[in-house]
Amino acid sequence: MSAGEIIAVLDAGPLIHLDELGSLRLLSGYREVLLPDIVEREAREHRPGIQINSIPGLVRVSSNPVAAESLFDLVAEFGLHAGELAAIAVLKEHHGDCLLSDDAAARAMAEAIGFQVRGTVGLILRGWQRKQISKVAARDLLKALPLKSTLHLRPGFLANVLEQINDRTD
Amino acid sequence: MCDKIPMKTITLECPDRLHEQLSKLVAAGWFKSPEDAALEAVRRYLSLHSVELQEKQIMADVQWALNECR
Repeated sequence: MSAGEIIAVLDAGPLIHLDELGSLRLLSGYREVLLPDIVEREAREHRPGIQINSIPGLVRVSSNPVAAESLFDLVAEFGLHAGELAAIAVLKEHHGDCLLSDDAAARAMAEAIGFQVRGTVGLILRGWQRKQISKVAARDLLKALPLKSTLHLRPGFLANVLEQINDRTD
Repeated sequence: MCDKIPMKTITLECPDRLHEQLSKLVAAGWFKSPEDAALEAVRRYLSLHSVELQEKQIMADVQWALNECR
């Protein structure tokens, strides 16, 4: 499945972190980017000025507690909160393909029920691989994560990620 | 099935404002009770502090981006 055919659903993490980096454009290239209302509320609580309308292919969707009810057993096992539950429920209800989340529990649950999952780091590198940004720009964004965003990464781990992309050609 | 899991009881003094937020989630149908919502909040805190899991997932993203994403 090519990127342009993928329907992605946003959780608050990548939305907030990419906005903190001024890089919401990296969400482009999906067929649709679905944004559950409860996730938008969470994002706006953290980032009142967030430029959500600039996201290409954005489709706002209402969260449906009834659709989420069938997931309650899994929710108890994985320990999700309302925004993440809403995102996964939207993924199922709207036949989405990919959850965009930085939350470890939400990612684990979405993968367990068969969905692709990508987070902020993956989206930055996807932008480089799709030639939306240069390798240098991707590296700069990764380095800026601990400084400008609320996505916390251990310095040693970030160095390891940067090393992984060092040998790759632009 | 849940009653087979060993449980401890914690008594929690919850600020009104926080309780009000938990109650809103219950009223919206996301949780059965404020206690269930509070339990999910604790689970969420603990899950978010699983550094090993988070780093494993991010590294999977890196490998996907470098090897499969076009």
